[in-house]
Amino acid sequence: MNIHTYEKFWLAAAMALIVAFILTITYGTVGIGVAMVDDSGETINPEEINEHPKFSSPGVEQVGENEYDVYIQVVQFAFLPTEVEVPANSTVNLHLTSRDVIHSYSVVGTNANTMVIPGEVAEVTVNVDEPKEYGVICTEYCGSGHHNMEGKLTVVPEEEFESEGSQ
Amino acid sequence: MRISRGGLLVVIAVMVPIVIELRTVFVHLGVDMSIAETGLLAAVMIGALLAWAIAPDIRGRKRSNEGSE
Amino acid sequence: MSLGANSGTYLDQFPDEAKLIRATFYSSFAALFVGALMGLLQVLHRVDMLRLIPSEDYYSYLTLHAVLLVLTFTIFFLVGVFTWGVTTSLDRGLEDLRYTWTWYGLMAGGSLLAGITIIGGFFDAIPLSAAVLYTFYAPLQAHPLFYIGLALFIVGSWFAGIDWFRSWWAWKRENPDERIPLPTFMALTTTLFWIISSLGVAISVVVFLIPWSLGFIDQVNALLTRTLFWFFGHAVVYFWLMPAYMLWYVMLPKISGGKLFSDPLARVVFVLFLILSTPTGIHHQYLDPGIAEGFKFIVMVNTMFLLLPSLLTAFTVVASMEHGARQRGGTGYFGWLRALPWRDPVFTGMALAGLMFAAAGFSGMINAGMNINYLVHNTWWVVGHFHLTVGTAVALTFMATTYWFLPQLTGKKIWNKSLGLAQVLLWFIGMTFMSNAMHRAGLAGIPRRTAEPQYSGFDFQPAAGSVAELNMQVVIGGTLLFVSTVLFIAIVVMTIRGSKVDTLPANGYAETLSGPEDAPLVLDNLRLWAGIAIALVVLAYALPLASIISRGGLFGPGGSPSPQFVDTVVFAGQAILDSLAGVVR
Repeated sequence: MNIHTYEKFWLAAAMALIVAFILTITYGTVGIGVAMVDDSGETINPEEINEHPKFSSPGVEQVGENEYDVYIQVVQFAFLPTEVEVPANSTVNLHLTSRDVIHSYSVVGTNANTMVIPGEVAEVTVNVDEPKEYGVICTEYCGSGHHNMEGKLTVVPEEEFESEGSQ
Repeated sequence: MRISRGGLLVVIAVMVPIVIELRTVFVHLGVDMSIAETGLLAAVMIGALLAWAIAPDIRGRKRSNEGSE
Repeated sequence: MSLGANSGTYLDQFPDEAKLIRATFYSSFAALFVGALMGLLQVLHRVDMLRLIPSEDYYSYLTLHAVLLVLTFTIFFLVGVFTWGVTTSLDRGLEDLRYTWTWYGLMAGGSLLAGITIIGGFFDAIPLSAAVLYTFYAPLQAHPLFYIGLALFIVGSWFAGIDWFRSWWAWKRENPDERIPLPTFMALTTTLFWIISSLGVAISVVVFLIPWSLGFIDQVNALLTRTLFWFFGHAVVYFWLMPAYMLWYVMLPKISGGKLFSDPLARVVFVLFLILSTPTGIHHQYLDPGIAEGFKFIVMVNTMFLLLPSLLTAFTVVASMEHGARQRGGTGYFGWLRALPWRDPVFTGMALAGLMFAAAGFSGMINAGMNINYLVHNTWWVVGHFHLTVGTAVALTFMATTYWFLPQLTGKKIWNKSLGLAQVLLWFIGMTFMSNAMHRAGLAGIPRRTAEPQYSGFDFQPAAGSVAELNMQVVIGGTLLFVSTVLFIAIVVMTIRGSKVDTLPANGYAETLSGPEDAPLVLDNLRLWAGIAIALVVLAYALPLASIISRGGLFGPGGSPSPQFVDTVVFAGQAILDSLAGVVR
């Protein structure tokens, strides 16, 4: 097959670009440590959510020195609890599942973004630093009231935070 | 004209994304531009393009006025 | 090359096939118009400039927009173009016109069924609804006729592909030692990956969703049906793209005044799409629970390699244009650009579509970037991206080449070529405004697929400009696009109403600088490539699908159906009960 010199150049450059992209993403994964949402969460029957030991009383729970678990039920058309407070400079493990259709939990202005699928529990770990208020929205169409789904994630100064479990 | 009329229209069309993206680039370099300022930049760029395209016609006419050479 | 004893227009050479292609094109354009109208209404609704219907019903706009544009408009045009390509390059009519009209009927009937169910969603009085969007993720549920309509449409398109195979097999018997002509090669490889990839969504719809919507099964596994959709969902974008690529390879060089730079490389590109387009589907599910990160990583690598055929195409297309320009007298390092036929909307439309596709490729690389995807998933960035790809690379190429096809199919001249040039330029400029605003809005976190991106508890913070400015830019872009669509339809209608002429060029497509004789024989071994494609799909999907089924069950639990068409009745019923209770109290 007759390949023009310029084309060989271009082919080599294209391959180099592709490999560079793959390496960049790999660095993000193993270097910086940005983990993807995966199958480490359990499966769950959406109709039995309120019999689940954690999801039946959704909210914030301290599980380590600076580590908190947050359980959120996502439904048509709200996040339960709607407003979540966590202390600054901590590690937050979000656990989310849906009682009905596919939703998302998306913290606006950040990369904390996950699909929430009935039957599956989505687990995302985020590091929060300084005190700030974030809007949370559902970005996966879930029915006629989808555009009204809104919540809040507030990072409060550590002194202000009272961990009383569910709200 | 230095380029055909069709070519001129196409170059103007291609300038639209260039100007829009240029504005975003400037913002990241610290230079904020309002819509009016962006529009002005676009007008200036298109004006320059038109001047470049029409220039030989104007120069050509001048040369013929100065007699044979 | 001009083929056959009777040179002449396509209408002269293949009058029956021309009639079929006209039918497919007109169906395509009808869908384009309604879909574009929906787009305009959507954009005005989202920014709160004009809300003609309640936001609850917005999702029917959106479903209709997507289904009509990315299924009906694109695929009807595709089957027309590939029929042209196969019959022209093999110099042979279709094998059995009754079979051909049957698949057209399936596609048309399926589209109508699906369309009617979606439109039913606007009217409470009609018990039909399909406000489930183009992805119809369970447990959101549409009326059973929606799924049945889609299934008929897809099956019709399979039959179209088989029609082209039948032509090739018959031709091969009479020409056993010849290489497959390039346009036919492209149609056949595309058909192969189309059938392989749509099997996923076909299983989802036929085995799960139709019985479920009819009430025969209780629940479906939401993640499973979603994964089966995306098994198809990435390959379908290449399905749309392949006819555009074919036109860039076999029409654009000729219109530029020259020849295709390399036939062998074109074959390589199409083989790469055949084997790589399906095993990448999970990159639409980077944020899904229930799928291991390892599978997502493999898919990311596959997706990055899928850049290769597009980058190769960029080279060949530009090289062919340069060759054509130099044939026309162009000189210089960049000066040859001036010698290209920019006044011809067929050329300019394709060239601008290709240019915009380059931008689309870069935003696509971001989407493919697994951990970067967190920042853009389900935001308007993604919408900006695909309006550049299917919305411009594909749609604008289709509209531009219509200005060449329509005379070939009708024997009539284009009503007004200058207006045609204006139309393609308007599309390019409109899309620039709209898509740029969508990308920037997405980076600020503004979501896609929503009737009202206005929230009370926080503000979106764009990096440059304000949300109000982005809104304005989107409305300007969307309006220009709609005007361009109306202009396109007007030109088509006025052309059809004109009278026949004798002065049209003969049917044909580009010759090559490096021809099929330079292409290794193995490239034409379709069985080999289909086999590899299937193997790669099995490798990419067997384990994830097995895992999803073993974790969640074949039939769920996956949440009870959220039937959209019953919703209003339930709400209304509840409201009536509540107000009665109020009266009684």
